[in-house]
Amino acid sequence: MMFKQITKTKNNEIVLRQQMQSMESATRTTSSALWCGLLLVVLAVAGCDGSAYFQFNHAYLDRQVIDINSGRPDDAQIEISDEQEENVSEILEAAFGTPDAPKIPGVEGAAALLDQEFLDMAAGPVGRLEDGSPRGLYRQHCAHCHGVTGDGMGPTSEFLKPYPRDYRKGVFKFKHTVLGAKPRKEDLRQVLMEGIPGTAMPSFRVYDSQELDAIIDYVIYLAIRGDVERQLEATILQKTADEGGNPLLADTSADASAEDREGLLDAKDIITDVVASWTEANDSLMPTTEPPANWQSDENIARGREIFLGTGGCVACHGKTGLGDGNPDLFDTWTEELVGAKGQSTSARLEFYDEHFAGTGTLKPRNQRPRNLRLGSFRGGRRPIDIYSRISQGIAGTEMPGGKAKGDDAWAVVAYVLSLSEEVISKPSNDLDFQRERN
Amino acid sequence: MGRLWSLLFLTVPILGVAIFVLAMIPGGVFDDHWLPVNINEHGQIIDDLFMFILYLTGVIFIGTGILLFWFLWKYDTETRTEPVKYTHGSHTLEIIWSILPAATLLFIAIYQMDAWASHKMVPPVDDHGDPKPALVEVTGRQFEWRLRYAGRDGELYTKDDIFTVNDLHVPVNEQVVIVVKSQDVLHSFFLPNMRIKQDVIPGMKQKVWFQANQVGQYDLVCAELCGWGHYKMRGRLWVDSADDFAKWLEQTEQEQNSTEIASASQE
Repeated sequence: MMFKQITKTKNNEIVLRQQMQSMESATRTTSSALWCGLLLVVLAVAGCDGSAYFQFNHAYLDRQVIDINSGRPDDAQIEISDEQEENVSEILEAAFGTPDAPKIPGVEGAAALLDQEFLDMAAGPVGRLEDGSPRGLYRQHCAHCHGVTGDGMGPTSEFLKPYPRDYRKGVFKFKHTVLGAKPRKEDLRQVLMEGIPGTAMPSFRVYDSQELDAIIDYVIYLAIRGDVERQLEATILQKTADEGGNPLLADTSADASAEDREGLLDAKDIITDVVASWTEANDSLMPTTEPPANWQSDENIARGREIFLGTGGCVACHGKTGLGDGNPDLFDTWTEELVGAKGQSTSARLEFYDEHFAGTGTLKPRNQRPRNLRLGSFRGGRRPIDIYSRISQGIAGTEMPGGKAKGDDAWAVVAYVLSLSEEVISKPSNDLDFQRERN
Repeated sequence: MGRLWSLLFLTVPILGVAIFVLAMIPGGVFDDHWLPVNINEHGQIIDDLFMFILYLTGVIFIGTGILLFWFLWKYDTETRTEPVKYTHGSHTLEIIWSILPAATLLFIAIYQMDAWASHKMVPPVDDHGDPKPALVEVTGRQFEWRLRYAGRDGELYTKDDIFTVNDLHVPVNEQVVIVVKSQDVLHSFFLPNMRIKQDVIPGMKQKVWFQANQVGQYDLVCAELCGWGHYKMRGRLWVDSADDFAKWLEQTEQEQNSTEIASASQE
């Protein structure tokens, strides 16, 4: 077709161009065949290898190294060697096993906290045993967002807002224990049952109750493992920073001397402490008070509003009308580790990320937006007791503080927050001052 | 091979018909592969329509299958040595095979109008002749069904609304109206046992209605590929007796208004 336009060109030139074109398309064919072949090879090598592994927590380690080095002269900079990283991984594997064969660490309290049968149900590749009991529940339901390691960096994670939870800090937002304590299993179960509206976390309530138990145990297992990993990394950093010390935690090989293996005892202490913190969760329920009679009356809602606007300090972040438009410059505790230190501007903090962590496989940091309270979408649950937990204890891992209002005052704020969700979003009912300001 | 080819091709319509027949026989080899049990008073009309179209297309399928076989058999090159005859076609034949399918399609289009109307156009009314209010609003979202029950006052978007997720309870032997909407992308609200499948379109509120006649637990699934987690977007449909439904609603309301941790775990 296109050659019809070249009427005056000599015949041989046309022939030449046609030849060139056919050569070109021939090369294209071979090269696309080559690419296809290459792709198949890559898939065969990468995709069909069944063994999964836990990712090493580089981000935490790197951040600590950066912080330590920034306070040191140029000739005393520290560095963590591959051998040291392997050492941490070996100790972790000895204690926790692998994603295909998880182990309950042999420390006090661990066997009472976690059930090996549950871990086996949740771990490994997806499938069923001959008796019909499931395997690989975690990889079936959770891993594509939360990652095999529980680092919140599964394949779909970067498309979600907010990002999926990274369990490795052992911090969970929605619970009924006191602020610093771990969640109870019931708290994690509530999240699985109800989902988290306003995020990508769906409800898993139609699944078998035992399967949920298995997933809960496995999430706790991953959280403990991740927490221990961080602390081992911190220990190895400390050892490296203290000059003259043995930079390895322990020799994990079977023929190592008792002295060389001593570091394993340190690891054992760390694991024992982390496990204990989870075991204690059941005894760390937050204190509650009975709500006063008629606590959802209009007067009490008005009182809650006064506290919200005044002594509670809620407006600083949630804004006068509860739209969550107060302070946009917040980062949650998981993101804090990737951005510059507090006290700088948000853009400066993000520049720190670009300089040190961009392209390392970490998720690009995002601000944590204070919740818009007018949407009627309550992430941690909409029951009054859920809201009360947030107000009396705050939200772990975030800038949301607890205890600004106590007792009856707290219940008044709960009543006000619940009433906010009934307001039309474009018409805040009771803040005319604010509207005038805007106009 | 010769005429063996024609026999081979004949197996295709035979197998096709056999699979349908086997699936339809209760207790047969493919027992569980026919339509799930219909528990909707308005569902029979959909099943009837389905069966009618199945029989109609089945007859045509068998006819064309036999015709195709006959041509293959008769004009096999190895056994028929006469030279090929060319023809410019038959005007009459062309008119017949254009008008026949057109008339059939037109007939189906008219025949199904009642089914469509009763299923999609004429919502149930209450005793006063007013449209029956919705019992529950279902919001599809990646990847779950969020439910908002109208609560005691029977009206949505009031203070006593009751919220839950994935567990859709409805009373038996009662006209139930459900509003479906989407929070994000296209979903499809599918109750196989009710013969109800309604695409859920962002920005639109749509009504579906049914009257369940059998207590039990059934499937609620998403029938429109809505993203990577589409497979996990399933819920349960519980058809309860009137008493059980009222009890469940009250219990859910109590839980929702809970001011104590003791009832934090729901199971």
